[in-house]
Amino acid sequence: MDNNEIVGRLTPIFRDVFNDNTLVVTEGLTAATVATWDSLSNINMIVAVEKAFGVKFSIKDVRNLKNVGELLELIKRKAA
Amino acid sequence: MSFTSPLFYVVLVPAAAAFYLLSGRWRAIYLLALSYGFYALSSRIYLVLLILASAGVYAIGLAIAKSVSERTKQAYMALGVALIVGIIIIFKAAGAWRGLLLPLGVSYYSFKLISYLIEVYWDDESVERDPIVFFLFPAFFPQIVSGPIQRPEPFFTQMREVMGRRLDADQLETGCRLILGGLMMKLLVGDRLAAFINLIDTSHTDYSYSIMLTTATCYLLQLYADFAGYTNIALGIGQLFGIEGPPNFRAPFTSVNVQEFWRRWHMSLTSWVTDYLFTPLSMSLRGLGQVGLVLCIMLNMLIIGLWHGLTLDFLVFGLSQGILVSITALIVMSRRRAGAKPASGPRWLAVAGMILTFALMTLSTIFWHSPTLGEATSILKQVLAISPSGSIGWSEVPASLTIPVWICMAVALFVGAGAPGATRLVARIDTVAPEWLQYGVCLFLLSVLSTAGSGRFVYGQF
Repeated sequence: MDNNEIVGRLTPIFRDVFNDNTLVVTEGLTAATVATWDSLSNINMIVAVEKAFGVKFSIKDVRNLKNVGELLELIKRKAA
Repeated sequence: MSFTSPLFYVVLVPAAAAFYLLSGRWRAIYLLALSYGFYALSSRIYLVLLILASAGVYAIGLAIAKSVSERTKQAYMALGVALIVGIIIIFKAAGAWRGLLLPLGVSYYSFKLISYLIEVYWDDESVERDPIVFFLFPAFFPQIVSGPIQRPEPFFTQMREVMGRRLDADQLETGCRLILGGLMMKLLVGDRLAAFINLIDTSHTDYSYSIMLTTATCYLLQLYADFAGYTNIALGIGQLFGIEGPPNFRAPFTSVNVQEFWRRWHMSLTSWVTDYLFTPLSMSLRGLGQVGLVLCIMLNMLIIGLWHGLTLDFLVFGLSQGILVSITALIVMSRRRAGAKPASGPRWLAVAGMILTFALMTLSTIFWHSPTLGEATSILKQVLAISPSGSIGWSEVPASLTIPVWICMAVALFVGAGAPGATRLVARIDTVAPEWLQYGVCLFLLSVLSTAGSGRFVYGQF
């Protein structure tokens, strides 16, 4: 899986979870730039990503994520 | 020594000046000695507890970082957290049931130490090997009395930075402004509201319904003025020593629901609970869907309630907040699913939300304020007009109390709503009044208008 493919699959998930049909998912995207990205929707996003990619994250994995770019790397590592 | 006592500031000024006369590592050593000295003024025995807890966590932190296997790291982290939680529970239980005085700041420094252990467990690089810098983290005297609960990494980074730089005049000025603003909020607003509340508290059933409703509203406003005032003083003192602490309030009275209120109120505690309790717990229970979410919120708010004290009052307070936040979270999520955008909808709906949130928090604070559950229930019944009120009306309350109370309520509400328009007003004042005059007026007001016997901080008891 390359980054473009993952971003392509993440986009509908993010748009659905964060309730924003115009959201553009980039590697630099952070929680601070999305109004509806709070502690509640963050968990929903994690669950949806786990389901879509067939992976399982630990709290340690998720805790250290600073942006979508790091989420991409995590998905690649877990899916490998 | 209280942050509101004039003697504290007589000592603080030369103490801060001496800090900048020293250089490098001596600054950290000096600040640690100063912090322990400040603590010893309150209790020498509990100072030993603070040092022992710090030493234990320092050693466990190093052990976590040194361990290779995940299980060993986890075991060390669990041991450290259990140790600190044990200290909190023992003293809180002894305080609630035996009347033992809590060690100064135990609720605050223990949460700092727990966050350090978890951060090191999550990331080895978060370990702090310099013992002086580490021991300063829980002991840092501006934050020891009632927080704010700073995270380890920003503290360590700033401390190392301040050891190697010159005095920052802008930071000193910010510090002085924060202290002065905090003192005014606490002594001129909070303590005046407290004086009114204390008068009504003596026999609240004798007072009329409108007086009781005003008093109950004062509970929340007084708590805000007191704690926001304290926080600004603590942040200001921290700035004098080069440390910028985390904020505790962000216009809480503009919250449109209870969930938002808790994101804007005592933020250093609520963000701590979100990061170290809510997130790990909701990750573990993520398979349970909405049931898991409600469980996490209930536990979160219960911990926040009981953090204040192991009493029935705080249990009810925590439970009531859990129910309110859970209902809000479920409504917000279902609205989002239905396509509602954040901050969408007519303006009147947002204003109605603010009023409803303020009213709900006012009612909840009755449990916070009252010494016993029976007393809280009695006040709540009176405020909700279930029980009859007394006959003492406004005309029988001294005018010297009533007019200042209305003014102080308006000020607390205005500041708690983010002081709309204040920046423009300050800019205007800056053009006509030099800074020395502004400071002079503030000091004059403080000396003339402070109430007698004031100075005790509500959050100092936790």
